[in-house]
Amino acid sequence: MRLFNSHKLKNDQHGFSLIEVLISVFVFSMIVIAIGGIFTQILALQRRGAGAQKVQENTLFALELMAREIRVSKIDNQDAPLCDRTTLTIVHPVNGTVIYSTSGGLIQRQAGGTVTTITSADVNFSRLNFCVLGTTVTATVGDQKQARVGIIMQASSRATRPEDTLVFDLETTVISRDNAIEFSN
Amino acid sequence: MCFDSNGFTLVEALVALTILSVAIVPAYALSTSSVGIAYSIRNNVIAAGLAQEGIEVIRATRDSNWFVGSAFDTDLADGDYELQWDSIPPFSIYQDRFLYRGIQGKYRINPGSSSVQTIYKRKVSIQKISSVELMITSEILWTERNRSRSFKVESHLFDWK
Repeated sequence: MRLFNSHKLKNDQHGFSLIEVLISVFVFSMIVIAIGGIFTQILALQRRGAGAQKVQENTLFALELMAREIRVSKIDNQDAPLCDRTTLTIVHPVNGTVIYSTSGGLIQRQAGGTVTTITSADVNFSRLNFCVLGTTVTATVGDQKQARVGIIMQASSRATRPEDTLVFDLETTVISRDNAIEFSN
Repeated sequence: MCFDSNGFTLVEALVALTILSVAIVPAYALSTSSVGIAYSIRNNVIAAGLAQEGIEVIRATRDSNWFVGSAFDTDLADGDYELQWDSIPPFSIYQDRFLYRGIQGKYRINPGSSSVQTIYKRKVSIQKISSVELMITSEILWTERNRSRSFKVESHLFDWK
């Protein structure tokens, strides 16, 4: 203290008064709270966006894989006009019998006795249904309709907080290009 | 209390405020644009599937025409149509209405038991380009954050087998 006194701390140097400090701290904290709130919201949005992106990648991949195989495959006696089929069996000219189904929210493809999971564990497929028309055949006679397969999926990202997930309700239809049985009539 | 103490001048305060807002405005604009990204991704993915479905149903009709020995464009006259996965001719004329999603998550033209209205409309157009070629366009229309969006695919079907 003597050190300060000896320099004769002049009393005409004003600092902030208590009121000024309190007000500025109050204003500052208001701003920080507001910015912090916006920031956490942005983080949540970012998480949801990243989740949606994962769902997009997985659904598009699964749909594309199925569509490519369905287009060239023979699909016999799988009709399901009410879309209640959860397993689809097709006969691919190269890959042989291919079966699509879900297990534990993952899409599985079985070919040549080997089961492969084709979607990521980050995405939950809560529905995989097949709508099938025009596949009724006997040994030599077709139903004179092109086989069409509607694929219905419900997918969402697996997130710890439910508000981070977004549910995708997808549907598309693919028809087979395999006409052998119909033209053999 | 003395009044000769130097605070900020008005000019200094204004300059500081300007710099601060120049820094904050782009950040805020970015954050607001990220609000709709997840929905935008979802809507596009769904629209892509629905658009493809429209084309495939018309294609199935063309193939079935061949199987029964009809002309490839039987029941496929020029016009705008609405359809669903199991539609067979005659297709109903496009009426600018929303699709519904019903039992098993199936998208359908008409409301049914426990169905919900979706945000999508699907317009499938057929145009005969020549005696051996049909142009099919399938357009999905929806509104996203007060903006009209659309997803359109086109396919050409030939009298060739």
